[in-house]
Amino acid sequence: MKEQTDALEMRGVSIHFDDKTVFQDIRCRFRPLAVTGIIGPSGSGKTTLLRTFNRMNDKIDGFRVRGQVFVHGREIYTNGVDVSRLRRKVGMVFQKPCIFPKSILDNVVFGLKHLHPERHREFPDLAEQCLREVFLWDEVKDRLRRPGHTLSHGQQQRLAIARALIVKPRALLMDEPTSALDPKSSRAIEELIVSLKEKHTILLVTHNLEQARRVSDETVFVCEGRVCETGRTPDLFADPHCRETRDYLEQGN
Amino acid sequence: MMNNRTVERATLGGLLLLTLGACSLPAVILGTVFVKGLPAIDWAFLTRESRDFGAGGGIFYQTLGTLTLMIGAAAVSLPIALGATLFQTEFLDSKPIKQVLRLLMYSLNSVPTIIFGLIGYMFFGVLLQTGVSWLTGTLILAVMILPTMQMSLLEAIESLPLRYREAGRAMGLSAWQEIKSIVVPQSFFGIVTGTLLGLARAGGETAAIMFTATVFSGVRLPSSWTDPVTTLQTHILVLAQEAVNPQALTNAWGAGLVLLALVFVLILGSLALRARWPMEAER
Repeated sequence: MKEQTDALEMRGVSIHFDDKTVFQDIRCRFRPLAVTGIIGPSGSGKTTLLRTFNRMNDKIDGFRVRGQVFVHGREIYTNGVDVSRLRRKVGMVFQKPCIFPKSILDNVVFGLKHLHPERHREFPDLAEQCLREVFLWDEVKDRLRRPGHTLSHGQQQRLAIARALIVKPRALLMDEPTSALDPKSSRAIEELIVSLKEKHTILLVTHNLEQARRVSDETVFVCEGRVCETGRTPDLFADPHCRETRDYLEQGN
Repeated sequence: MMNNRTVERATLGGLLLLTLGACSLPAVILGTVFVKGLPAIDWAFLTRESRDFGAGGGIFYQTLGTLTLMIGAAAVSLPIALGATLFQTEFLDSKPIKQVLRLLMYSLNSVPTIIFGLIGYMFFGVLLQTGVSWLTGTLILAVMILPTMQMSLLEAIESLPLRYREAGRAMGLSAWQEIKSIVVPQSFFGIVTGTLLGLARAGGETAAIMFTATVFSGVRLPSSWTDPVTTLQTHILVLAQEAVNPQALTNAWGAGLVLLALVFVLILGSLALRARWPMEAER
C-alpha cells in the first residue's frame, strides 16, 4: 500500500493551452523510489507533462487541465490544495541551472530561509548535508562564501539540485538537467540521479536516449498528445511495442 | 532626371545634416549655459545665502529647496509606483485590464505639467489645506513623476527572466516571498534607475511648483509642513524676467548650470546602473 501512495499518477488527464490540445485523456503512473525517463520527439509535451505534477504550468496563459493528477495519493488540482506545500514535496530541476547572484551557501539554503527562518542556526549543517548528497561538498567547502556564479556549469547544476533537496522533497522533476552541460559533467549528474533514487521518486525528461537507457528504471514514451508506451527501460528499448516508439528509437540511434 | 546614385547621395547628405542639427542643438544649449554660468560659480556661490535679490550671495537654499522637492517627490512616488507595478506584474492576469492600466499611465505621462500644478494645488493646497508649501509641491511632483517611474519599473521587472521566478516558485515560495526574495532584489538596479529618472524629471520641473510650493526670496529651510521653499527653478525664472543688474543675470546662469549638473548627474548615474543591471541578473 505504501508503494501505491508514494507514486505520481495521472488518470484520464487532458491538457490544453487555449484551443490547442497537448494531451488527450492520458493515464500513467510513475513508480516510487525509481527513475522514470520521459522521452519523445521535440514538442511532444514532455516538459508540460512534467510540470503538471508541481503545478508550474498554472501561470501560463490559457493552461487548462482536466482529469485527476495524484501526488503521493492526493489529487493536486482540486480546490484547497496548498501549492507551496505541494512544490516543497515535489522539487524541480531545470534545464539551465538558475543560480542567484549570492554566495554558494546562500544559494543552497535559499528555500529554507523562507520555510524555516527560525532554524537559521542549523543552515550550515543542512547545507553541508545537501552538498554532500550532490557530491559537491569537497569541491566547495573552502569557498562557501564565494558567489555561486564562480562555479562551473556542471557544479552549478549540482548546486541547483542541492538547493532543491534542502526542503526535503519526496519527488524530483528533472527537465533535461544535462542538456546544457559537457559530457563529463553530464555523467556526474547521471551518477547523482541514480544515487538520489534511494530516497526520491525521480522523473527525468531527456532528449538523450543513451542517458535514458543508462539512468532510468522505467521509460515512458510520449508522442502526439498520448503516452504511447511505458515499460521497464531494458524491455522498452529492446522490444518496443508501438510503431512510433520503434521509429523514434531507430532515428535516435 | 537624376540617377539613382545621385538620389542616394543627396538622401545621405540630407540625413547627415539633420543628424548634425539634432546633435548640435543640445551642444549649443549646454555650451551656452556652461559659458555664461561658469563665471558665477565658486565655493561661496554654492554655500551662501542669496542677497540683494539675487545680485549678491549664493544659491545655497535654492539648491536645498530643489533637492527637498525632488527627494520628497521620489520618496512619495516610489512606493506607489512599485506597488502599482508589482500588482500588474505579479497579481493581475487579465490582459485587457493591464492594457487599460498602461493606457492610463501613458495618458498621465502626457498631461502638461501646468495642469498637474493647477489640479494639484486645488486638491492638496486648497482642499487639504496644505497651502503654498513644500509639501504641496512635493505631492504634485510625486503625482507628476509617477508614470515616469512606473514605466521604468515595469520595464525592469518585466524583463526579469522567467527562470528566476520559476526557480523560486519551484521551491514553494509564495507570491509575496517571490516578490521579496526574487523580483525586487533581481530588479534592484532597474528600480534604482527608474527612481533616478523620476528624480531627474522632478528636478527639471518648474511650471507645476512655481506658484504652489515656492517663493523667490526670504525663506531658508521650511520649519513646518506648510512653509514654502525657494528653488533653483524659481530663482532662475525670476532673475531672468526681472533682474537688471548684470551680476544677477550671471547668477541666474550659474543657478542654471547647477540645476543642469544636478539633473545630469542623476541621468548619468541611472545610465551607469542600467549598464550594470543586466549583468547582475544575467538577462
